[in-house]
This record gives sequence, C-alpha cells and structure tokens, in this order.
Amino acid sequence: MRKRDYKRFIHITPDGKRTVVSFILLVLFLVVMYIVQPEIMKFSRIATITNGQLCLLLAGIGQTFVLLAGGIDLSIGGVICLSNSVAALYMPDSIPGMILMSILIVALGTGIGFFNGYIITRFNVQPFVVTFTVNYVLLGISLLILPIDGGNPPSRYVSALLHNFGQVSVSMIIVVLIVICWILIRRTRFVRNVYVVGCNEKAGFLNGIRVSQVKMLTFAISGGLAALAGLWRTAQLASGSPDAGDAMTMPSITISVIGGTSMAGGMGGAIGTIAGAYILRLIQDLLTFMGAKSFWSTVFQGVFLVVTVGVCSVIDMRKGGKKNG
Amino acid sequence: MADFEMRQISKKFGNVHALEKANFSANKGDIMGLLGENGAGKSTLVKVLCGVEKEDEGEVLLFGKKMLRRTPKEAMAEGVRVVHQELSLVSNATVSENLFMTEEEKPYRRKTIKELNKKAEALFKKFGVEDIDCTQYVRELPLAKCQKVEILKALAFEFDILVLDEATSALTEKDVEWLFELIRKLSKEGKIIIFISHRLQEINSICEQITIFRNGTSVCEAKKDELDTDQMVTLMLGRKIAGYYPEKAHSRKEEVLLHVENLRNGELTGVSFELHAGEILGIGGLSGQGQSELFEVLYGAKGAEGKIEIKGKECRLRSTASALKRGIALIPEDRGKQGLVLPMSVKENITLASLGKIRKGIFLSALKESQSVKKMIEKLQIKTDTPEVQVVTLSGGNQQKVVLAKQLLAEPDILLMYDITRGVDVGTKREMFNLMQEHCQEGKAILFFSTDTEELVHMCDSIYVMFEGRFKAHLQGDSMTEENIIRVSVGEAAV
Ligand SMILES: Nc1ncnc2c1ncn2[C@@H]1O[C@H](COP(=O)(O)OP(=O)(O)OP(=O)(O)O)[C@@H](O)[C@H]1O
Ligand SMILES: [Mg+2]
Repeated sequence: MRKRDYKRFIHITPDGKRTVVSFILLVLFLVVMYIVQPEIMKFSRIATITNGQLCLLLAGIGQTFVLLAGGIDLSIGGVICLSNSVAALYMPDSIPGMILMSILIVALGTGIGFFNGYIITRFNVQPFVVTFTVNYVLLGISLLILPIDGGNPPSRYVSALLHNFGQVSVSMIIVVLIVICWILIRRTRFVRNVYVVGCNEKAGFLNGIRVSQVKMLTFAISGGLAALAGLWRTAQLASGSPDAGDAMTMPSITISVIGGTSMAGGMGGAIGTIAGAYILRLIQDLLTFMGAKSFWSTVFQGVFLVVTVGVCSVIDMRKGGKKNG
Repeated sequence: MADFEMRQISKKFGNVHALEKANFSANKGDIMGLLGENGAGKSTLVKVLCGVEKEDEGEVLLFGKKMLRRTPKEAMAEGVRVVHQELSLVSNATVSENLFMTEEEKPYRRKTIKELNKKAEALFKKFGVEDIDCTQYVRELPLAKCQKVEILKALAFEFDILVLDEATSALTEKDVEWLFELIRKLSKEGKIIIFISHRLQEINSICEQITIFRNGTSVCEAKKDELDTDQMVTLMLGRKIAGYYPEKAHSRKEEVLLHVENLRNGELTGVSFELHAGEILGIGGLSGQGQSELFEVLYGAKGAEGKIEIKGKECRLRSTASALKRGIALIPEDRGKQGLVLPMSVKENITLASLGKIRKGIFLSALKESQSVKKMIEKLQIKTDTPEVQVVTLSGGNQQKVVLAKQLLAEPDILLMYDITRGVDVGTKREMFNLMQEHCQEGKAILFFSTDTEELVHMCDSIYVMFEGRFKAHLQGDSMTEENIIRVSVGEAAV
C-alpha cells in the first residue's frame, strides 16, 4: 500500500516524460562537452551561450504554443526580420522611447500572428500555407525598409540587454522568467484548452471550447515572441538585417521537437524547448571542437531529431497514447 | 480437452492486474457468451488472443496446437478474427478499401478500385447486406453502419474463431437480428464464436454456453440453461442488485425549461416539444432518424430554422460554448471521437467542461480540481488506478462513465443524453439511472435518447418517437410500451 502511494506521488504525466527525455539528452551532451572542454560549466560561458541562443529560444517557445494547438508557424523568421529591421532603424535613444518602441514592435508581431490565426481559422486554410505566404510578405517589407544589413541601434539599448549583473546576464534572467511564466500559465484554462485542441479538436468544440479563438491566440503569442526575439537579435548584433532572421524558422521547430513537443499537437511543453535550444548549441559546439565541417552539424541535427521523435513516440506507444482523427 | 483453450493467462498494466490466471475454453460450433462488469478484463483477453497485447504468462491452444500470435497479422493467419470494441476503420478511405485492408496475399493498393468494389459487392451479397454503399467514404457513415462494416471486415476472410467484442452495442435492432442469423450459420459450419455483450437479452437469445469474468479471472463456466439472468448478474458483479430500474420519481414540474418550435434543417423536418423542469423526456426511434441532428442543433453545434426558448427566453445557439453557458450539455454518440480527449488524463477529461468552476483567479486550482474529480470517480465508481492515467487505458464502459462524469460535473440544467448506457454493465446502468433521477429531482431536466426501448419505458415521463426527422408520436401513460415504440419506429401507428 505504501509503495503504491509513493508511486502516486511521483506520477509523471506523459508531457512530463517527454520533457524529462529532453533534459536527459541535455545532461548527456553536457557531460560529453565537459570531458572535452571543462570550461563549459563556467558561469560566464553559460551566460555567453544563453546570450547567443535567446533569440532562437524565444522563437521556439512561440512555435511550441502553435505546435501544441496542432498548427505550425512558418512566419516566425519573417517576423524576426521585420522586428530586427525596424528596431535597428528606428529605436530612439531615450529610455521611454526605447520602451515605447519595443512595445510597439511586440504589438506589431502579435498583430501579424493574429492575422495568421484569423485567416487560418476563418477561411479554414492550412496553417502551413498561410504562414508560409505571410513569411514572404514580411521578408519583402523588411527589405523595403532596410535594403542592406545596417542600422544603428542606440548603444544604451545594446548595453542594457547585454548587461551582466556580476556573473548573471540579462538573458539568463529572462530564461528563468520564462520558466516561471510557463509553470504559472500551464495552470490556466487557456493553456489547458490549447492541449485539448491539439489532441482532439472535435471533442474540444463539443465541450464548449472556442477552438478558433484558442488557435488564434497561439499564433498571436508566437508572433509576439518572434518580435521579442527580433528585439533581442538587434541588441545582440547591434545592427539590423532584413533577411538573416529567416534562418530561425526551421530551428524553432527543431528545438520544440527535440524538447518533446509533438508536431501532431497536444503533447509536450515549453520547458523542453528550452532544453532543446541548449542541446542544439551544444551539438554545434561539439562539432566545431572536433573540427568537423559545418555541414556535419546539419546532418547531426537531423539524426538527432529523428532519435528524439523516436524516443517520444516509443513512450507514447507504451502508454497506449495513440491519437484519434 | 476443449478445441480452443486459453490457460492461466495473466496480464498486468503497471499496477493493474487486467487478467490474473484467467482460463477460457470453447469447442467447435460453440457460441460462447463472455460476460463481466466494466473493467473485468474481457477486452484484454481478446487483445491477448489476437496479438495486440502480449500476455505476461499463460498459453493459448487451438486444436491442441500452441498459437504464437506474435503480431495481429500472425494471429489472423492462425485463424483468429476480431471485431474490437472501439472501431478501427480508416475514415478517409472507402468502405471497400477498409474491408480488404487486412488482406494477406496481395497488398490492396495494387488492386484497382473497380475490382475491390466488385469484391465488396460479392461479400455484401453473400451476407445479405443491402443498406451500405461500398464506394462511400467511412467518415460519411453513421456509427451503426460503421459497426456493420467492421463486422463484415472480420467476415471477409477465413477463420476458425470469431470474436465480437460488444459489436452489437451500436447496431440497430434489425441489424442485431441479421448478425444473430449469421452467427448461427457460422456456428453450424463449426466455427467458434465468442460473443461479448452487456445486453443480457442478447446473451440469452444467442449463446449456448457462457463464461463469466470478474476482476480478471473466470468465475463461472456453464451452459446457459443452468443459470437465470439474476444469477448471471450476481456472478458478474459479485453482489446482488435491487432491480434493474429504480422506481419512477415523477419529479416533473409545471415550469418549462426548454420550448422548441418547428425546428427544420436538412434532416429535421419540423420538431416541436416542451421539456419541463424535473422531467426525463424520452426520444425513441431507430437511430439515424434525426436524433443526433436534433441534439447537435440544441447544443449549438449545428444550425437550424425554428424557435428555441430556454426558460421562457428565445435564444440563438450559435456555438457549443453559448449552449453550455445557457445550461445545456450534450453526451455525444461517439465517445472516442467526440466525448473524450483520449491521450489526456482522466482528471483533465472530467473537468474539461467545467474549468470555469475550478478556477481560482486566473489559475485552475489543483486542489479544487482533484476534489471534484475524486468525488465524481467515487460517485460513478470509475475503475482507474489514479486520476492521472490516460483515458485510453480505461475499459470501454469506464470511458463512458468518464463522459457522464464530465457532464454531471458541469451541472447543466438540460442534459442531452445520446445512448449513454452503450457498453455499460448492468450494475453501472443502475447507478446511472439513479444519478439521472437525482439530477431531475434538483429541478433540472433530461432529454434521453436510447436505442433500448425497455430503458425508455422504465425511465421516462413520456416518450416521443422520431421518424424521418420529426416526432411521429407522443407516448404517455398507458400507451408507453415497448411494442408501441417499435411500431412507431418503423412507421406504423401506435395502439
Ligand atoms: N493499456 C492499458 N494500460 C493500463 N491499464 C489498462 C490498459 N488496458 C486495459 N487496462 C485496464 O485493464 C482493466 C481491464 O480492462 P478491459 O478493457 O479488459 O475491461 P472490459 O472487461 O473489456 O470492460 P468493458 O466492459 O468496460 O469494456 C481495466 O481496469 C483497465 O483500466
Ligand atoms: Mg471491453
């Protein structure tokens, strides 16, 4: 009897298991990396890595929301480019101005996300098609306002975001905040509904969930986070680029999936995505360390993706967690 | 030794002993009834037999030879055909594609569509099926026909053993007759038929032998004549029950909760009625005469012309959310696809329709949630290890209980029930009936559709019989008999 109660206490949900898998992988990579390069565990090194990965991480969390509700967002790259270009060109050099501009840019990203979600749910079009198209439009607009790499964001803006409090960087604080936020909002009705819609839209609808609203909100969140990612990128590079951010879309999916989020929807979570972002970086670092050519990194990422997806589906199968229509 | 034997089969899922040293045997030509309460392990036994699950211990022998059954395909080759409790058709394929999907020698995709259809038609002719078009897509078929296709799929090839796991639960009465005819023929040809059902009349009318399961083991094997229905029930549940139906409560009040006038759309051809507080209003008729359409309209899932008044106020139900807000809830026809989110936990499913009530500020309160879930699990005696397990792992009847628990927790004023006792054992049925009466005594009302006429007669204050999209007759008082329901269902007049 007691043993059974104990089991009850540590019961891990299927979503939890997927997250645990991604963290086990992260630890594995850390160990390997530690053996070849002990300084990886230094605080300053972690700060640098976090600075480098935060843009992708923010984008990935947005993607996770969309994937959880059963969609996909291919316009993330476009939003990052637009946000990056606008911020690099128009960021004013006063503190209230910076705050206002940032809010405006995030609102713009959120609006684009809403637009995606509205078209998708109102006209019942595939998310893939809509966001793919919107992405091109956004890239076009970015090129219009910033034809070549450049722009000059105020140095106060750059140094504020790349500031270090002692050993702790702003980016690390942001990651911790993301974790806390996720844990909190995981307990809201909205996020519960996101999972339901991702698992079984029809049942969700028949239980009074406003499915279109939920989907629209996930796209809006994704757009908003992508705009944030663009803002971060502006500080990180201290300049703007109208098209470089486009390369973020695919990795945003990669880290979500490595982090245990199912592309079919309804399974996974944002904590795993964070692990995914670090894993991706460790893979790249490890290969660079071994002096491998850069295409190996891509190959390796692919192999890795397959492995994690495989492990996750084995977990699902063992739990009998097959999906329905 | 019997021709077919399953010996000392054990199967554990985590902490749950689904089967514990279960024995089962049958001879050529037997029609063996398999009974047991929800979660007794019937479906697990079947899954072990057909290679879907691997037993932890035990062996299976057919004509003295050990069966390996490493995969479902191998089990089929060894002569086992199963109609599973939960449908397994591919909804985006046509009927004929579905029928021959499991074919052995040649992969079906190499066949031309025409050939497949021809084969399907020949099969239909052989088994006397006239009401299904084999070129139709499965997603367009109502549940009753899907069930029929599923049965035909099993019959399409040679076998020694045929298992029907609650295959009649979604069939119309006419189709049940058709199936019984067929089973009798197959048994004469020397096949072994294993028939699982919670409807005891069916067991009584078709089976010669019965095996009763309780808590994962067989507790009785007997000839049918040796046991009467009450004894069967006592053996199944391990206790006696006091009658199959509660006394009628007569809690109907004058206040009208729902007033419906002349609802019309594609399938409804003018439905009008009034539902009073405290009333259980029955809806009878063959399934597919517009009942599910009516429920969906009342639940805001589909539109229709006409007038709907809730508590005296006319309203337009534009979405299920607005219906729920006005106190209408639906227990849908297909629990797997419409009622439940299968990969999610029992807990999350039970609170699915009442998240507003377990809120604390903007968050869901874990405490309130687990309290309400615990209450419902106890009330309905849902057999689950913990509330955290995924709903798919529950037995069919227990999944149905989760659907009911979910809607009762939402405390709607008007509950639309579509055949809620499907796949539920007699003991639980009795509990469900009590809960229905309790619900009505609080001044709420139930619209109760059932394919089981006995249930309607015993539970309802009055009954409308639906025929071709409208209410054909209103049976009250003495005219409320099973015979009348059936007569009106097929288009005759009541007596
Ligand atoms: N994949 C699984 N994982 C965990 N538990 C399971 C799984 N499959 C079945 N069980 C458990 O095994 C027990 C027996 O289930 P089974 O489906 O065999 O019951 P049943 O007799 O068919 O009931 P019903 O009449 O409701 O269909 C149940 O308690 C169920 O929860
Ligand atoms: Mg079963």
